[in-house]
Amino acid sequence: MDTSSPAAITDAHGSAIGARAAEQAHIVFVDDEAMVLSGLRRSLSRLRRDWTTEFLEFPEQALTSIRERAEAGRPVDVVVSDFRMPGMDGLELLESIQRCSPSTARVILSGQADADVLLSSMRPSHMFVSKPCDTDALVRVLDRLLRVRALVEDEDLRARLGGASALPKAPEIYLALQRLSRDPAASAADVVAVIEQDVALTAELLKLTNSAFFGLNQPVTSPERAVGLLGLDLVQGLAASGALFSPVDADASIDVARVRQVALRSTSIVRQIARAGDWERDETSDAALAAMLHDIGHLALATGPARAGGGATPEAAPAPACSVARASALLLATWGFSAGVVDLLLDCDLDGDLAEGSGRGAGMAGRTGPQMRSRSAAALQFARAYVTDVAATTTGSGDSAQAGAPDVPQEWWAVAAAVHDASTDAAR
Amino acid sequence: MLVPRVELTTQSWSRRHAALRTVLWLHLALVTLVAVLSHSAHDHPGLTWGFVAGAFLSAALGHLPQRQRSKAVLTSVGLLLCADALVHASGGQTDMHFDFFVVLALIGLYQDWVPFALAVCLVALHHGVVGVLMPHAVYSSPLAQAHPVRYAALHAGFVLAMCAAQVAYWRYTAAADDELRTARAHAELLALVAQNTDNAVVITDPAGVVTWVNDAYTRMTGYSRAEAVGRTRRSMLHVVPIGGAGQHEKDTTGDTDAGGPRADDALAGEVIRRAMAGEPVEVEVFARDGSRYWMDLEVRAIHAGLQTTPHEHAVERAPTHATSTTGLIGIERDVTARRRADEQAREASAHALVLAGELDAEKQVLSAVLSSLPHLVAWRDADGTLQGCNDIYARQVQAEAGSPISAGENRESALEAAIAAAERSVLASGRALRDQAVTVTGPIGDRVQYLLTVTPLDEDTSLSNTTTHPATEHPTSAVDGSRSGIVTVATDVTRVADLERQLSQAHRLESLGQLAAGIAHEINTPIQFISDNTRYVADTVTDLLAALASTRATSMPVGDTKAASLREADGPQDAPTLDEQDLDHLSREVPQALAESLEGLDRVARIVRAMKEFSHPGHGLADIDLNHAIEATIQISRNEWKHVSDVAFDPDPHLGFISGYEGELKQALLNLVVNAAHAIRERQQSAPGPGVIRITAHRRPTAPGGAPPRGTIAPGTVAACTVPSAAASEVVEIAVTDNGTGMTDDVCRRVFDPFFTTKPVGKGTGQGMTLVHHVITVKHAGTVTIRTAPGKGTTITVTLPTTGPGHDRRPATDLPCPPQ
Repeated sequence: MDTSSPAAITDAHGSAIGARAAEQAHIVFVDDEAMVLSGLRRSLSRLRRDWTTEFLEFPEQALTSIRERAEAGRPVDVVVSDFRMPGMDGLELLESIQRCSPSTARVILSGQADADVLLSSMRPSHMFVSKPCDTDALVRVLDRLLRVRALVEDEDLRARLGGASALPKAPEIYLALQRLSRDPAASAADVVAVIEQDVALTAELLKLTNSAFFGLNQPVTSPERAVGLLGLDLVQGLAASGALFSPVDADASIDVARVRQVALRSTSIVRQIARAGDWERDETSDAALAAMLHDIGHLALATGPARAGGGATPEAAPAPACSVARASALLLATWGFSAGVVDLLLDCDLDGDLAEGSGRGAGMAGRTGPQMRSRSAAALQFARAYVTDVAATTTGSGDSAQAGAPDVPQEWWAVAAAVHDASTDAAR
Repeated sequence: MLVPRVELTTQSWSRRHAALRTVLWLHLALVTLVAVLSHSAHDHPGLTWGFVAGAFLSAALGHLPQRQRSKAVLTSVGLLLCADALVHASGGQTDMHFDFFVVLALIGLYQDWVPFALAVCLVALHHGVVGVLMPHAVYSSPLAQAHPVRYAALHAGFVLAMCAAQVAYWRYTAAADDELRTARAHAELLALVAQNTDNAVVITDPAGVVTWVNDAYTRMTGYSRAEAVGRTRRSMLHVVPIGGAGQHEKDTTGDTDAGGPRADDALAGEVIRRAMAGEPVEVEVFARDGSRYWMDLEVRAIHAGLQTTPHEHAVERAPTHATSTTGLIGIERDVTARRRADEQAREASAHALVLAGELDAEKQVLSAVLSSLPHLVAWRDADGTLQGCNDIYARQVQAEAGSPISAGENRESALEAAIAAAERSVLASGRALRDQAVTVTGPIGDRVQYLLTVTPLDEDTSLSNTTTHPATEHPTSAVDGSRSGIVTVATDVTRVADLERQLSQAHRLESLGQLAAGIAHEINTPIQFISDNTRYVADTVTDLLAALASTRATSMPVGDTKAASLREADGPQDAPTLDEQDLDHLSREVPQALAESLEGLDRVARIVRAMKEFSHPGHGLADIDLNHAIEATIQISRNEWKHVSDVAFDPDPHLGFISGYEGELKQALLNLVVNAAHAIRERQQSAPGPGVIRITAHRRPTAPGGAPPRGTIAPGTVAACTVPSAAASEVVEIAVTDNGTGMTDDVCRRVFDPFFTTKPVGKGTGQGMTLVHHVITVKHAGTVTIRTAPGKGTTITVTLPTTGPGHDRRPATDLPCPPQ
């Protein structure tokens, strides 16, 4: 359950777009308990008259309706479904919706406490909210979701992002994790170490902990914390059974290894900066996670099968209409990640395109907007730019770039250089 | 008899007779000679030759008669006539008359009085007749001639005296003869005994030289009488040296006096010396053929007069001072058999001792085992007399060996009373009473629970004596098993009972836990909409109040400060406006919201109540409202069935109460309902269609002849029996029917097996139906029947006995509990 403070989406991020999108929001609620639907209906009618809501008792009905709208080009924004229903149960419903209307955000609202079944539902759904749920809070969550969705206007992109329930992983890392998950002698530290190596694994694990199912009172921002809270056995079990971390192959449009490398390096730079600057813990962890998951949008898009019905072939992807950061923010928001991380990503939205290598050179000097960024956003941007720039130019420490970025504190360069040296040493 | 005829043996008489006849012929010859030579014979030749002829005749005819007496008479007559003739031949010489005395002496040899009498008569006759007629022929003295009769009588008298003397002689001889005969007969008898006895008898002279041995000796030693007589016993005694086989073992060729080695001789001498000293001697010896046997030797000295003294020191050499010893008699017995028997007896007794020792040890072990058993163990015979028990029993029941079954005077001990009652009932009925629960309250109020088992002993064991008799010796015990005694065992199962209770509680909680997920959902769902509705109503009311307030404000005069402030407070853009449409909407929705909320609350309350009931351990045997129990079960399992089926239950108002264990019964019903729901779900995966679970519960009378089964007493009850009253001919029948997958035959057969389940791993523990079976059949003495058809569905019917409208409970002391 997202218990963070109300959405901190500032007007600077296109409030007009968001508001418009929010007005047009179409949400479908599905539950076999008629009285639950009436209750929701009443609350929502008071709280958000601007939403278009449907309350359907029968999942088949809901599926038909959603499919029709998707085919008509006006897909439903969010579907909120109960889990155990007679006839078609929630899992089936959401899987079907994922196939026919992938851009629709899929939320489970359930009173079930049966762990095994619910964990298996993690994949087709984006978010999990447990009953009983304060409608105000639910509304807040949905609102946030809708606003962030609005930031990515391209329906096709949304579809692709929404359809991604699993992200491609570096094969060797994935295999290492599978091995560890079956090893009874594995320790939590071993598993964490593997998960941390991969963006996708980190993201999927944290998606799990962010779900309301576990009733965790605070957002979890590091794999270590996640494994500690969930317990090693559970993580191992989920990994071994495939309920979590499914092996997905990326298509050729993306270099998973490189994405990973950039993410890892920039994360460590950010961490070091934070340590050097003696940041708060929350701030540090948010910044680190944002750095890690910054490119998750890339990975989601590289997942082949999930496609809007009749969409273009993967190879001929049209130019995306938003930045990586925004796409990642959307995905993470859909997955219920905490506002801190989502906002941070939106903060460092670079207004660039998603094409590979486009960030070269533009990161440092390309900021022309007068937007104020938090220092963590700045650090994140800096780190990413450093990594991509320096990586591109195998020589040098980027002193030239340093001169061209006066906003960046001096020590950051040193830190970044140190990390870079350390990592190149290790790589050698 | 005055004049006995002393029997002579035929041999003796014949010899004498022969001798006498010889004498007769000789005498005749003599007389003839004398007659011829003596001139006195010329004086009376007629007499002389007449008597000679007569004597000759007697002698010649002597062969004729058959009888001895007749022969004797003839011979006697012949001799007498010879004597007469001699007298006449000598002219009546007085000295010739002495011949009569010789003849008489000779006649006396016949030892018969008839010739004597004849002789006396003849002499008297002769002397009288012839003396009178011709005195000169008979007598030679003038005096005699002058008085011939007188002298005839005189001569006859002397003859008579002579005869008398002879007779006296006979008599004394006869007595001596008799003595001799008796002694001889005695001796013959003894000889017979000695001959026929199995003991060897050796008679030696005082020097040890054998004079006689009996046959047994020969048999024993191998020396015949002929070989033995003349040798010393010592020389024939070959002692087996102790520890060695002896050199003579293989010597079967006999031995000579000088040939035996010195050691052998010394041993033999030693043996004999000891025997003669009166010591009991038992020694192993070699027979002549080399076989060995054990010999018991006793030597006695024979004294003059055939007395023997056993303890005389007889010297082997010439007796110097033991002059009264006339010989030695040795009696030897072959005691080999006896020794063997002795040895066997010794061995047997040693063996028996060992066995006894082992038995003793075993008995001690058994006693120790019995005493260290934590159970009460006791055994009584067919009369109820205590034959034995272990310590704990003795303490608890305060009985000792030999005491009868307690009559229950000690009211303080419910255990004792229960045990006594059980023992009595088993003795009377002969059927075992197994696992009867008895609960006693200790002095500090703690409840201790026992399981009591009393069984009759096997038929072929009797405890009347301490020995066991085969059944044939006790015909009654072979016929009726109850006559042979009982064994009582009581086990303290308090802890087990406690554990059982905890386990059943754990089971209940576990199944409750399995439902918890469903229950949580059942509660969450109503809470969701209750809270939504309540919020809605709250907000709506707030709006309504605000609207009402602003309406009032606007309808008030403008100058009213209160109205002004109100107007300011609610800016026009914030004031909630309630138009007709809204009001319409609200007047519909608000009551609806409240009604739904109330319904939801009701639902939650029901579920919570049902859960509470389920988790409660239950009070043991109590009256249960079955309809209510079924409804609670349906409630609590709602989440299991509501997605897959409907539940139809129409409570029967006449169902009433039934005695039973509420917690366990509800548990069983829950398992049935959940199984039904799962079966329907499974069926719907392949054959979709509505699912229905139908539950019915009715009373019905039992079929005639089908008496309700007797109950068992389960742990947790005070010792009490529930005896079905005559009116208890009803049962309660609960049926749970589903249209799920049904069961195949082999599944149905195994459905009650523990841990048998058709559900995937982790989904079913296989304990559900086992628990149903246990609760219904064991705890409630009911039955569970299944009717099922694969693909069609299953009906599980549970019948429970009722105890009738009143409760029939009587304490155990008054009524024996019905054995199973």
